[in-house]
Amino acid sequence: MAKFIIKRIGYMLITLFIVITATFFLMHSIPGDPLAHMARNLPEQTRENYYEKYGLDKSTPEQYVIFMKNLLTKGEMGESLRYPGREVTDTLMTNSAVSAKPGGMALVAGLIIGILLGIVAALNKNKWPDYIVMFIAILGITVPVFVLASVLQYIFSVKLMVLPTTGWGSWKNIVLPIIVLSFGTIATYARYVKSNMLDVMGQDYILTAEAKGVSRFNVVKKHVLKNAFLPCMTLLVGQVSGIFTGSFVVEKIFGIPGLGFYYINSINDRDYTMIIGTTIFAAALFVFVQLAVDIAYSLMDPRIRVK
Amino acid sequence: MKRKLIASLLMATMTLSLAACGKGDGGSSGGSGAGGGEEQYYNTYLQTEPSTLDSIKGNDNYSRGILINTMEPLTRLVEKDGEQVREAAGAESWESNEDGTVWTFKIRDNKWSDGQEVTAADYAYGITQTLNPDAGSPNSFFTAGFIKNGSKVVNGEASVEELGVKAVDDKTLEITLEAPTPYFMSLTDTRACYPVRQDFAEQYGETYGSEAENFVGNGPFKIESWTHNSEIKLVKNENYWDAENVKLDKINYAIINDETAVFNSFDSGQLDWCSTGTEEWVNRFDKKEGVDRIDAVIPSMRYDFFNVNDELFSNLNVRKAFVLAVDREDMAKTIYQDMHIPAYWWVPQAVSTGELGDYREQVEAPLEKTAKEEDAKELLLKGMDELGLGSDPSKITVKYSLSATTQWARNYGEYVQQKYKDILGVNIELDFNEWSTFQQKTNSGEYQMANMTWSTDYDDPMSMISLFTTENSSNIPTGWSNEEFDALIDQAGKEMDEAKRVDLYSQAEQILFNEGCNICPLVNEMQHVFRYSYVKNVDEKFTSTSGLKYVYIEGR
Repeated sequence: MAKFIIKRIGYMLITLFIVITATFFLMHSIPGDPLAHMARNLPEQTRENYYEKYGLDKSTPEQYVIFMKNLLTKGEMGESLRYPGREVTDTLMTNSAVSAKPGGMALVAGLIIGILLGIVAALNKNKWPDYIVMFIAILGITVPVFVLASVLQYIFSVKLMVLPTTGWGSWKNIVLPIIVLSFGTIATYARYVKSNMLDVMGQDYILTAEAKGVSRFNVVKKHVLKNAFLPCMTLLVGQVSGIFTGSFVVEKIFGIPGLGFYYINSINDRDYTMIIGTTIFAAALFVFVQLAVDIAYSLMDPRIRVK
Repeated sequence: MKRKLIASLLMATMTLSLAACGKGDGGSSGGSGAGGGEEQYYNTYLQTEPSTLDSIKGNDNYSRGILINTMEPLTRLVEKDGEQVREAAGAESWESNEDGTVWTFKIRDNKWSDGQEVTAADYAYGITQTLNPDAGSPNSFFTAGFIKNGSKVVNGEASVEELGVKAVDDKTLEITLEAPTPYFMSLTDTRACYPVRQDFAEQYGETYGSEAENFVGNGPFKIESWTHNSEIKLVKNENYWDAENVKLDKINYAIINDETAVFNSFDSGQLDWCSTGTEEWVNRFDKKEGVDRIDAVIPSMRYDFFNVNDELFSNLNVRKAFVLAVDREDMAKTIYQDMHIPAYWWVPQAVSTGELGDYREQVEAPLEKTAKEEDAKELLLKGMDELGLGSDPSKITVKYSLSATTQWARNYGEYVQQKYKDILGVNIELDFNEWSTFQQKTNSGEYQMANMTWSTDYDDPMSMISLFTTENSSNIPTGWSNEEFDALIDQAGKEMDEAKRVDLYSQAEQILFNEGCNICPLVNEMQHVFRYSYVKNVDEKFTSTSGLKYVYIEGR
């Protein structure tokens, strides 16, 4: 087990290194610079002075070496170019914590409701509860979040005036984002749990258990659920890391000062330090969660334990 | 295109600096005077997080909106009885020597929000640092060409000590110019001339202006809190010299990136105002009660420009044909749903020339007459003949570069394609680019015809017309150059008599369309603001720099 973990950590570091290097060179190869958001041509000298100040006048490999040195020796990613005076690492920490609040709550709510709905649907296959759940699931998967978010905002903020449209700080600000964010999770898990359960329920060992006279409740509890849940954990990797990186669309609509904003805008703004910072953050989070899930997997399912 | 569009919208938003929509958690005590003791708070918005409040490093319109309320520029352009007046602000008075090359400002007794006296050195430091190459300020272009040795300092050819800016004593600021600049005063309220407290800025170094605590201002309001990407709260600055005339106690800026969220917030009364350029929302808010609609022309142009080094567009008649072929009325109606006005000029409306007022009211639109007299198709055929391209326009294909890839840009592109086909019979190939790619292509001359937006930097026709001198030609890279035009602009830049200066501008604009036609104006932008009627005394003109200083609330 220890060997497995060490090996995996080694792979993780290699993955991160490749991601950082590739991103660094790719982002410097796209046209434009951090002054592009001014949407105008600046005099050459103005641009040169700016480049010099932020070290952008150096060649990309040189900048890469400087960046890696600071990252490895001091753990620094530098200052944002679009938002002078703000450390990228500070922004990542502060904003991911903000994103994690609605994201985390939505994930928990989505998981619980989604799994319950999935179980209900599986146990009532081809009956009305199944149809209702699948209708919700299809809606959840097909309705884009920005539509759902705008509709909810219109109903609760403009028409009923019970919740604020945007903002951050009060519990009222977080209600709609949680509903919107959890909707997709509910839909995904309802469908996934249902199909996994049906799959497991068709297995021979379930038939054996039933033949032995185990009650239906116990069959489901002891055999079906456990085996049906395992594959669901794979899905969790993306979802868990997603709560920290935030949702660009939902955060934009509800004015949540999360991290999602920086993922999209740093690229448009050519905010190099922020692009690389957000990329490292997302990549590290993803590989880390994946490792955690893999470990959990191997603990729970002897069939896939790595030797 | 889209970036510029957003930029313009924002600029509009910011310059007027008036936002509306209350979250209902505004001011505490009654206002200072106006409004019969009711709570004086104003709920406004920014569409994006300001980059920094360091006026030297920041260059976005969002931070400009905050700075105009938290800093005291030397002067402010204020509306009085519908007229714009340049009002003494940070400077109590000013005078220039006879030839207009040395300007002396008497700095008013005022205090920074932390209680320190404002001195001439604070203004001198701000102006100097903007031009200091070590500071790498993106705003150096505002003043570099005007202040003595400005360009040399920016280029590193002269030291900052040689710059024509000095604090003679605590209350006297002296600025020496390279040459007489009649419109110099209109630069005094741009961010390139804002004061900066040297001790404070040096204490915080790179982080100066990045947080509410790392910033100090001397304007009518001060920053209470700044939650990045969420909200900024301003409160009245009791240390401000004119505090008794500042009515608002609190200003709440919500930072809302999403347009629909802005409109929903306004609709539900959480914002006191909003700006929209969409017909759908305009119609909706028109029906809303207790809301005023204010339409204002903004000094910003949407235009096409031609690469005169391109084989086809090297010919003046061809360029003219393309300029005249545009049905501006139809475009304003079909594409812009009458949200903007057709433009037959280059210097936009809402740009004024000192005391003479709006330039466009003094000078007739150069394209209006030509559009009636000449026939686009004939000009095209003539040009094609001159170029030896035969007489079949359908054999010509022109690449039209756009700086956006949005659905709107695509619709717009198709419209242009259709129109040129109908009127001139030429084929247009559309080339959609992301802004940065567009910028790179046009700068390196890899384009034939392209579309962009430009807004003025300061309130004088010079800001627009000087973009086409040989010296400034990199701004809009058409490759066109004309000695006569250069000479006229040069002369206008020194002409202290306003009527004569207007005449020089008008001659230059004529040359631009008679001999250049490297530019094809399309529409002059407008902004459409909706504001709850309880917000009073807002300056409506886009170029005003009074900020929210005189705004008050009555009958919320």
